[in-house]
Amino acid sequence: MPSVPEPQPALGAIVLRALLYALLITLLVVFAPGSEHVFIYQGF
Amino acid sequence: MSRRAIPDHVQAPAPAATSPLTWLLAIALVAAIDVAITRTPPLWGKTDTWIKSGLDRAYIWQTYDVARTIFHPRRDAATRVEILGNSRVWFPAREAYVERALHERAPDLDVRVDNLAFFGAHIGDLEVVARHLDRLRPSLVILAISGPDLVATSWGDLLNPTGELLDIGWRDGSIPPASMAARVDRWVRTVWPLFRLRRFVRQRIVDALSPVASDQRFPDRVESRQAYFDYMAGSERGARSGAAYEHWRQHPTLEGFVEYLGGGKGPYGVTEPVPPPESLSLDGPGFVVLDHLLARLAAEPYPTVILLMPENPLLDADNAGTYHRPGFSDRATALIEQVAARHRIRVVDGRRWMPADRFVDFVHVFPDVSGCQDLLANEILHALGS
Repeated sequence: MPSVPEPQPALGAIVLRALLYALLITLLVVFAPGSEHVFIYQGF
Repeated sequence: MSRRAIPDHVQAPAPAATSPLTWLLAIALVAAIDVAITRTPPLWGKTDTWIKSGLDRAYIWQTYDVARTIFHPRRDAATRVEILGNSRVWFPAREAYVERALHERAPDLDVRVDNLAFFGAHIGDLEVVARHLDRLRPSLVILAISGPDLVATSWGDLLNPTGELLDIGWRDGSIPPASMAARVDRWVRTVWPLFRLRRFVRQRIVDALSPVASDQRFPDRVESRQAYFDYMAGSERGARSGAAYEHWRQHPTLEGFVEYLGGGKGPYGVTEPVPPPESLSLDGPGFVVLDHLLARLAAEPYPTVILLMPENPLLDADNAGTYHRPGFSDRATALIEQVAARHRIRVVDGRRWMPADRFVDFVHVFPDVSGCQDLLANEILHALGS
């Protein structure tokens, strides 16, 4: 029986999905808490 | 409702969610967004970074100024002077003042001065900032320090959260990170610009959504002491400060100055509460950091000069040690000179550069009107061989 090539996802779906991932990663990087702490300078 | 059967030989399209192509494209888009955010005016466009509302905002925006200078430099110039320090040099060495003083002395010199200081910086913070110097291709580095910058005090640690915002590098510096999480943070900051600058991005978004009207640009020219008081405190409180200051100038005693400052606060009034001078040694952590920093700078092709910042001579009369720690400055200076000599780095002792009436308090000279930038310009030209 001849093999049927696996259909590829539509290009538009790939671009939209990639954009969604990129935006989510960017938001996560900007807003996720890190190990930084708040600094209160006592010199004044 | 009828449903048509799907023939067995027809496969459903592979979902875009799991396609390697999707992830490759996503990574490329993350990189593009990173560049769009970290290298363009939306991030670096804030110039009114003199913050009068909240120290937490002030510290973010001061370090932002330093980050902007490093990652989004102003105009190029044939000669680039980088000044590292804290509030002691932040005020008198604003770029506009020093560049003006340099142009008066050397009109043909194409020079850009970058003030990389921020309030409360100690030697660990300066060491972190110095890791970025290569990006600026310095012609000269001025390390503007004072003895208290080499010890941890209640005013600040050797490395503070302000400096940590710019902390990069694969290997631990002379002050190891407090935890593995902090180390991983540093690694990610090293490779990923958006992660490195994310606190500034976050604050830009917050400020865009909720602008603060009192944010201002620090003036490029301060014509008089009264203009400084008015700018800092507003016309009403500024007038009172100016009157108190002028009263002191008529009766220029140590006690009168303390009275003008409002009586002082803390164990030493308004000077940094430093430890006894005999506790200082070359093995102390602050001097170890200085040694590492100078070793690195000495290996660079550009010269480095240590400038010991002006100290208010009124404190000479404080023999009892009511307002400062007598002997600390001299002991710290002796040790700084020893460390600098190891690396053949010149030390300019500016501690007596300024008379008392050029100081706004025991620690800071007046910006612009003090004329401190003129003496600094002389030293810069001397170091550049001009």
